[in-house]
Formats: sequence, structure tokens, C-alpha cells
Amino acid sequence: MLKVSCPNCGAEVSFRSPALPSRVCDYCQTILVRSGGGIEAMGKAAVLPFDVSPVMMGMRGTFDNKSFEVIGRVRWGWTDGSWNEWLLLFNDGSAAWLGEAMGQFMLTRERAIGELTDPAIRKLIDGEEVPVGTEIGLDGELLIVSDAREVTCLAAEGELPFSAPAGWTVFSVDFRSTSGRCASLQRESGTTSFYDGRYVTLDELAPGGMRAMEGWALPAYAR
Amino acid sequence: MLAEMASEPGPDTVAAAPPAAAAASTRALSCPACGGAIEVRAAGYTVTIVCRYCSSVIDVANPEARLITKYEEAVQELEIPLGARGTLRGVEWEVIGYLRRSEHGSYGWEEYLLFNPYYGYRWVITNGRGWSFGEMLTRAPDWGVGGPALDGQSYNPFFSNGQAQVDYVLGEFYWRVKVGEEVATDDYVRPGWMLSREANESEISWTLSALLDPAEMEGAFGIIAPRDAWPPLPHQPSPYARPLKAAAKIGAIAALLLIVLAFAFGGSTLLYDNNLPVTFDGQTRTQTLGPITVTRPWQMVAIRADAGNIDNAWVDLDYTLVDRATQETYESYGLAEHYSGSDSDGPWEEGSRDTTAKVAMVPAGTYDLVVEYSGNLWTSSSYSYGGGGYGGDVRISVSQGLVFPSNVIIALVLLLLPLLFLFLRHIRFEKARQGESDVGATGLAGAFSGSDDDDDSGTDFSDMFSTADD
Amino acid sequence: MERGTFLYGLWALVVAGMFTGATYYGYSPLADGGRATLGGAMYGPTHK
Repeated sequence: MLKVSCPNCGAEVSFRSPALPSRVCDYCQTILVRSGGGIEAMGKAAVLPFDVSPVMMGMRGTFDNKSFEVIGRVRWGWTDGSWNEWLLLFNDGSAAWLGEAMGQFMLTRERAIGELTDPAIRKLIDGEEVPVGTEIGLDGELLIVSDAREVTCLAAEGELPFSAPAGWTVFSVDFRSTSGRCASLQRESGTTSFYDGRYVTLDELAPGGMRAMEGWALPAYAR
Repeated sequence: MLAEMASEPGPDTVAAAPPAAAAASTRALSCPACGGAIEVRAAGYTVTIVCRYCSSVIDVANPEARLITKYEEAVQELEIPLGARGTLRGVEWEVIGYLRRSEHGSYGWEEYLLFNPYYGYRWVITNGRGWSFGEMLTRAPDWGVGGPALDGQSYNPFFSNGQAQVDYVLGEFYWRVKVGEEVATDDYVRPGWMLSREANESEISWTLSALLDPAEMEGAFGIIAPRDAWPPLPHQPSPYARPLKAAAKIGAIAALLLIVLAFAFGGSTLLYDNNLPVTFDGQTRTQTLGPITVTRPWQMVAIRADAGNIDNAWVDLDYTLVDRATQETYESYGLAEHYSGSDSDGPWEEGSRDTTAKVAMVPAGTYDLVVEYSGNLWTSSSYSYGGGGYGGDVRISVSQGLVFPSNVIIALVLLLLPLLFLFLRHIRFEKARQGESDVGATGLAGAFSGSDDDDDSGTDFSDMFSTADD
Repeated sequence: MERGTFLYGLWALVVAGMFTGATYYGYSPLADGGRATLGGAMYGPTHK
């Protein structure tokens, strides 16, 4: 755990993992990135808009027999909506994303681009377009492209593996399967990342420290 | 915009953070068209909200609410008002949106969007005949032989190639809904459940709906739910199916019992066997045969008369069994006859030479069988043997038994009658239910369809028997 | 067990009971003959 002072406002900020070099200062929204010997300020993150997500920073849970804590969030938007991607840090130091849209949750982990052999995926990595409905093979399972669009980073908080300034645009492709498995590919100026996982329910994550909301009782599955 | 009441920003810690004070759950907004105060109940998810005062459509995907379409219309009053809460299947839900959709203007139905931040979205849907509780799936069904299968359950096609259009919209939704938008629909059913597929150019979604008991819906939202829908809803289970299965089991056991009893007690014991000489002169004579001793407390006594090979003659027999001790009489009658000849169609024959009369409820005792009989020749103008002298023997045998085969038949019929009734009602129900279907009657209802005017793709046996009239 | 199924079970019992009773007494509604003074049993044609 690295604790430093924010170069902009002086508040104490901490970095929990060298794999997550970026974080948004909780007080002044400056994006801080650790590199080499020091901490650099790299622009500002926008303030998060109001939402009624049950997930919040500090929420704990379990997935695949490993416990995690929510330590970061990026909010993405496109012309017809927006959603949250929460960063989960597991007790073994690994990280995963919990995507939240339309009340449905997807838990995905980053996967090396080099491993992926499907030709449609290679085309996407090369910068080409692939139509919605195209089938891809992933580890012997069939997935189809469910949407492909430009998305913009709207806001961010907490610790992140990359710096997420407001206005940052990325081309994002989502994949779905019949079994609940899902994946997504994000491409921007030459670099592509791929995330693979499945739909989960909050119930199965046995969450503790969920956000309490006025007028709503915490659910039975909350720990 | 209401400020979010988040936890106090503080130093990050790895230990569990203390629970935050409850955050606000709605976002207040002023309608850009009419200025009315609106509340966004699913902020962060909601993309479009329709002003509940003036029906204007507002885009809330971005922090600044943007007016999409301005309307100045009175808003429809809803059966379940927006903002109402109800508990269904153990979870509290808030009504946040309302849609009225139809198949190009006909067969309309209503959908209410329900929300709970910890459980996501659900739908309650009604077509005026009943309510269903729907959930959008995160997985697609597999394809089985007759239709889709989900979690090991198969669904049968009901509506295909439908086109659902939005006719009216109120409240908030997680997509850019607008009046007139269309999706291609297909619906598949199994008793109590409907699996629906909706597709437009950019996406496909599947929703699984459970048929709700009217009491459930009434208890949740305080409305009056329709009951006894007719025709039945597409996924309404036949109320006759389960009782039919259970009753059929009972009926089968009872029938088996009867048959076993019939075999066990179906035997008969021969008590008397002798010949009765008969002269075919038309004269009535009386002969007393016996003694005949019957042993069981009660029994059926069968009196059999076998008239050998008489032809074109008959023997009339009046039987009276007389109990020697009590002089009680038991009467019966027998007719042994046989006729034959030849005409333009060829040779013919008729009649029964061997006939048995069964006397019921004969108590134990020793009896005499008094037979009053006459032998007669059948005379017609072309066949006349004249009178006199022709004689023969009629063999009379008397046995005691218990089981009347007719009783077995009657009992089985009585047993099966209610089952048949239930079965016919079940067929009637299923035919009515499938009446609206795009695939026509299938399964049992299809087998009993006859030459109805619905699309026929089931096993319609009438095809085998119809002549060339369609 | 539903009410309808229960009633059918009762009915099956009644039918089985009636059959057993009829078997014990050697009775049938379609018997050809019976006690002379009883009106119930059919006699059959008695043309002379």
C-alpha cells in the first residue's frame, strides 16, 4: 500500500496494487498516475452523476471462492444510455470488472489478446468493423456480437488500471452466449483489451456493504 | 439536481467500511416542456422518461435532461399508478414505467415496468384476461426438437412472426422507447410459462414470464385481477390436466381390481345337466327337472338350453325355479331358435340355438326347475314341413356362478364415464387455448380438431378420412 | 389431492363397492330372471 499526498489538493491518497497505477483523488477529482519514482497528475475526472446503483466503493463480496472489494469505478456512456464498470480487487491481488447495465451484472477478467484465435476477433483487433450477430468461438464456446459502438468515459472514481479522463473515447464490442457467458473488447488508438466472464447476480456475490437507499430495504441476500 | 448523500470521503482502508447513511433513491427533475416536478426512480439506468403531466418525452441519458418530443396531452389514468409499490414473489417492486403495445393496433396488451435497485427490473403484463410476471434473461435458450428449451424445460411455439408496436408510453425506461417503435416477436409456451423473443435490427432479447395467480396480483398491487379467462391465456395450464392424471391412476387401479375380482369369482359350478326331449308340434308341455342344490348364500343361476342343430324351428322355454323349502319362485325365459334359407343375396342364417338365461339373486337351497316349453316349426308359405312327429333333444344345464359379464362392463363404463367427461373438458379447454395460436391446434387438441378453420399443423386424423372437398 | 380427484376416488369406491355387492349376491340389472314377486328383474319376452 502506497500512501502519498495529492499534488493538487494535498489530501492523502493510497494505491493498493502496482497493477492499478491510476486513481482519482476523492477530494479534487484529479487523476493521479504512479510511474517510475513518482506520482503525476493527468487531468481531471468528471464528478459521477447521481445513480441508484446498489454497488458502491468499499462493497465486499465473494466470487469463485475468492473475496473482493470494490475499489474503483468508470462510468461509460453512449448516445442511448450509460452504465458503470466497477473495479474489483481480489484477495489474491487479481482484479476483475463488474459491469452494471439495466439492472444486470457481468463479471469479466482481462485476457491476453495474443491468446485469441478467432478470425472475427483478429479483425476487430486490426481495426476493422464486424457486424452485430457475427459468431465467434471462444474456448470452444459460441458467442455472438451483441453490440458494437463508440463509448465515452463520463466519470471515474477510486483506483483503476488506466487513467480515465472525461471525454476519453473507446470502441467497445460486446459478446453474449446462450449460457450466460459474456465478453467484451475495447479498442482505442492501436491498443485493444479483451475481457471474458459471465453474467452474475448480486445474490451470488454474497455482497456486504451495499449502498443503503432511502425507502428500500436491503435485500435478503445482503451480508 | 439533488446532491448524492454518499459516505464521508475519507482515507481508503482495506478493512470493511462502516455502513453509509441511506442515499436518496430518486432524482428530482423539472419537465422541460411543462415545468412539472418529475422524479426519476432508476437514475443512472433510465434513458427516457415520459412526463406524467403532459406526456412529453425527455431524454435523461445525460446529466442535462433534454426534451425529445413535446406533447400537451392529458395523461392516461393507469390501473396501477406510477410510483405504486407491491410485493411479488417475496420482493418489493416499484412501478416506474407503463407501455401499451399491440399487433399493429389490434390484440393490445399492457406492460408495467417494475424496479428494485437491489433486484433490477421486472415486468407485469396483462392482456385483459390475466397477469404474468416477466424477467429479461441474460442467457438465450437452447433449441430442442419442437421449440426452445430453457433449464431443461421445453416450450412450444404459440405466436410466430409477430410485430409488436408501442402505442402509448408513460414513466421511465432503460432504453430509448418511443411510440411507434416495432419489434419482431415470437412466443413459446408451456403450462404456466411463456418465453418471448423480441428482436430489432440491433438486438435480440428473451423474456421469461410466469402466469400469476389472480390472488397474487391482487395481494401485491391492490387491484382486481381478471379470473376464469375465456378463451384461456396461451400459457394457462388446463385445470383438468392434473385431476385427469390423478383420477386416471385411481380409475386404473379400480378397473384392475374389478377385473381381478371378476376372474377370481367368475367361475361357475355345473349343478344339473340333462336332455329334455322336445316334439316340434307347437304344443306346450311342462317338465320338472331337478333336484338342483345351490350352495352359496346367494348366487346367479345360469340355465342353459342347447337345441342341438335345429333349423327353421324354435323352442320356447319358461323356467321356474322353485325352492322346495320355501316355495319361493324364480322365473326366467329362454328361446332357442335357428332359421336359414337362400335368397337373391345368397344363403343366410339367423338365430341362436344355444341360449343361456341368468337368474339373479338365488338364495341357497334345493330347487326344482319347472320348464314349460313348446317346440315350433317355422312355417312360411314356401317352407312347410307340415305338423307332427319331428322331435329332438334340448340339453338343459344349470350352473351356479357369481359374476355377470354385463356387470363388469357396466362397472367399467361407470368408472370411465367421469374420466371421459374430464378428458372432453380438457380437450375443449386446450382447443380454446390454442385457438389464438399461430401454429393452430397441436397435440391432443389437434387430434380432435376435425375440419376446423384454424391453421392445421398438428396430427389431425380427419385428414385421413376427408374426401376431396377442401 | 384436489377436491375433484377426491370425489372421483369416492365414486370409484362406490362403483367397486356396488360391483362387489352385486357379485356377492349374484345380482345384475340385466339379469334374465329373478324372484317372481320382485318387479326389478326383467323377464324377457314371454310371448306364447
